[in-house]
Amino acid sequence: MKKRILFLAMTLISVLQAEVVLKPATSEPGYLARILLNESSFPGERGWVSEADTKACMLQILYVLDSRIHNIPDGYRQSQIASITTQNIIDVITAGGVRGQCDGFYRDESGQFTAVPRVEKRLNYLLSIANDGTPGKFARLMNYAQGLADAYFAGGIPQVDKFASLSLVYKTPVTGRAYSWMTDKDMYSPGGNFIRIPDGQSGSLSGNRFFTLQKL
Amino acid sequence: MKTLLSCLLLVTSLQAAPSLPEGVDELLLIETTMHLYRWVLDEEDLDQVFQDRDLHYWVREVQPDLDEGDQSRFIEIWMPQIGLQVTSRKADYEIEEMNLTVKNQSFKIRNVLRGTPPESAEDFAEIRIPYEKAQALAFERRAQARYPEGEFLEALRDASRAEVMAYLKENNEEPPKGVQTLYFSPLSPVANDLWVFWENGGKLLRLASDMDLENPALWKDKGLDLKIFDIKTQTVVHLNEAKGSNAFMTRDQVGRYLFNCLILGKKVELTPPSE
Repeated sequence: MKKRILFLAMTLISVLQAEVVLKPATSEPGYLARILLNESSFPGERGWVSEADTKACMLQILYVLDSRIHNIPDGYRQSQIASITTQNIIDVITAGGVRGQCDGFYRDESGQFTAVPRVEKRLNYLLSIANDGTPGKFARLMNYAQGLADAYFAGGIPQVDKFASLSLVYKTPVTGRAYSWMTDKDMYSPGGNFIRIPDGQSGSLSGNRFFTLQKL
Repeated sequence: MKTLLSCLLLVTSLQAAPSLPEGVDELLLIETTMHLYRWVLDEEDLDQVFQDRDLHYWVREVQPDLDEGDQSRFIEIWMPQIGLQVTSRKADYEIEEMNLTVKNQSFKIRNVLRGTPPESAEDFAEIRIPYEKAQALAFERRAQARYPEGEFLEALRDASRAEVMAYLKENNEEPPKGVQTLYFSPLSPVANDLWVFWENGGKLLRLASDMDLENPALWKDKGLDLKIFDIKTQTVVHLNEAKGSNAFMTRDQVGRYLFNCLILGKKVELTPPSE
């Protein structure tokens, strides 16, 4: 009898661990989790390095979005960095429309935040792997993204911003923090006063390159 | 005493010179250069090379923190004359959830960046290859370009068709009528990237993966995942026109993709599903 209860309990725990449930894309935490997942590499994908690397990438993307609201450096205006003036992180994500700051994330004609179908298509694919069998990296990464998003809307980001104290990139004084990320390819650059954070300062995470700002 | 000191210094200096990482040889460096020649380099990049008559490479193995059990290897190649940094990976890891091994046969380019080379090459193996040697090999290989064939080609056809149809549906556009013409760029021995130009639709499609593209494990079960770019609406002269967005490519970049697809690539015809 004891064995049976134990077995049932173990099965229940296993199911609970395996299940990744993302909040709906129509909710703010669900939408934020989707941008973190969409921008980060999973095993088998081009930018994949490790679980820790992808988690670090998600965290730093969240910090970029937040810094575009709460940490505008001296001498800069929010509109120069985020292409919008707002106190709302969803506005930061959807700034510029479907091919704007976060490619594929936009507000539709009714003002509802949404994303192009390929975002949900990839997400469903990742979910199908994460929820199939024993929980592994896919499940942990997806839960991490949703956890970050939930924590953000619950009041903050508990982890440390690894770019917060950047003061010099090569010989250029910089503001600290990252204010942009792009696919890590030479052809992509946000231009203006954005400074590429080099590999030696952990500027490349999960197939993305992070950029800080030149100090004014 | 002076001789002994000189000998000791010589020994130290000989010991300090790093050797090429395992799996890296002249052929890999030349093939990497050929790839860059087709996809990245500009005219002026080769000015210094022509003056020196040699291609210079600084190569070293780098060791990022990987997950337990991941045997992947990473190398960093600098071409100091050009100010180009290439990072390549030879993947060797398991995806337990998918019961899949991701294992590359050789080093594959992950990233190419322009920048200032390190001040010193002391941590790197230094290699010089006569430009004429690289050029001769490139010329010899020109006729040996490899393209998707067999089941991989069929998987690509299916993926291209699915991606195009999904794109058209998403954009409320009519499905194409009649035979559609695609051009596939050649397969690279040093990169897991492939570009496709859909001529009738004026669009580019990109396939990129950590796995070797011809490995059936990549496409047997789930098919291939392509990303589509509309050349007419997603091309700018300067990326500052679309600050901060990944959705755009420069006209120069598009020109390179088209050259690789149209001129160096393979033409394939697609019949719409309804016909």
